[in-house]
Amino acid sequence: MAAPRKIPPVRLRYSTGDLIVKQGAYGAAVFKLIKGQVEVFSESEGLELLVATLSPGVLFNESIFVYGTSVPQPYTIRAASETEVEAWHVDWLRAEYEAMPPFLNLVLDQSIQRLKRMEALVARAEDQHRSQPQPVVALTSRPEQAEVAKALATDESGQAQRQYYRRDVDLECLYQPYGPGVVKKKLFGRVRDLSRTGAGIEVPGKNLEHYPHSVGQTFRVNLTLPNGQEITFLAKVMRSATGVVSGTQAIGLAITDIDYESQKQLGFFLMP
Amino acid sequence: MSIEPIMRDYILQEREIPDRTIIIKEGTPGILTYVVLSGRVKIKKKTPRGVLTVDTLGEGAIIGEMRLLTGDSLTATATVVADGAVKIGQLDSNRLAREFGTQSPQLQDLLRSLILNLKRATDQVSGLAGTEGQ
Repeated sequence: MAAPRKIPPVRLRYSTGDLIVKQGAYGAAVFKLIKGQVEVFSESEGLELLVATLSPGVLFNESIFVYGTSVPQPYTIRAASETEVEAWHVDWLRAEYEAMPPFLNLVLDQSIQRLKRMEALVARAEDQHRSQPQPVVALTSRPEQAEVAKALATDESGQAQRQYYRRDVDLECLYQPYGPGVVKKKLFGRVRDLSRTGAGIEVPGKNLEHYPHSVGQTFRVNLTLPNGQEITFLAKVMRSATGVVSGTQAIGLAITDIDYESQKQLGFFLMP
Repeated sequence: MSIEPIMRDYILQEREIPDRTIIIKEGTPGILTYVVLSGRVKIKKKTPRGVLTVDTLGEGAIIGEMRLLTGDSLTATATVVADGAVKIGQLDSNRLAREFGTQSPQLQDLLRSLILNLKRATDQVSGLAGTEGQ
């Protein structure tokens, strides 16, 4: 490795609500909470689900050190009060780690390998639980569920990835109510994430004035993928909640009907 | 995993352990740190549904490593049992703990946190296996 970059720890201040770490983005730092509190969220189908509140002394974003900087950050973390953190750059930590006495290094390497293995096992065991319907309340109160989201992002098992791989996007979509007797009003929204089985869309609050987006309602969705391919599908509303961005509603959709060509194009798009 | 020459320096004494002997018992304090020199050990945890084997480790594996980072007061988080005849080397954990203590506070903090995450993940695996329907 080239001469390690010496980037010493820095102290940073945040105000209530400030974003510190964004799920899905590539990060470079492990953080230690010095003062105040932070909230840890797992984003799923357009909804931010609170999975933990952290108090001073705790570390977060350690996965950057364990799994590397080419793996997206597993959680969104926001300041829940006036907050001070210390940011430790991964390159600096790595340099310190590699400069340890060799045998001590070896012992800790083993512990880290075991940690990765255990986290992967938790994810696989949770996969089986997850195939049964889980109430949203259970999801927010069980940090283990968030571990699934984290571990799946790094799981080497190809099968787990193909089943749940969800890609963050930012695409405009046209959608309209579907079903007998419905008013086929054309509505616009932004698709925030896509998977083989569903999508998370963010819609302007005023769309709900035109048409209720209640759980169970079916829509026809049309969108253009970044490569120019248009796809369309029918999807049912699974979740509806106030969006992260004010004035929006976050809708979680499950695809119920998709033609072969759209399914093929979606599949190509989602390949890692 | 094989025995690194550098490891030899840290081995205080070697012990032959017969099959099925408990080397470290879950819940007991004052555990020592060992390296498996030959043979295999099983790592077992108590779950609501009985004792579960969470891991099997072989030559070169370090056991009781948590003590390095968290001190004598920590009780063993799992039972380690010989699977067949095993030879273990008791490690100079004082030396390892001293070397660990000379690292930057941030690195110490991070590694302690990761080891505790490992403990938590291992507990989860036991807990999840304990609650499975089948």
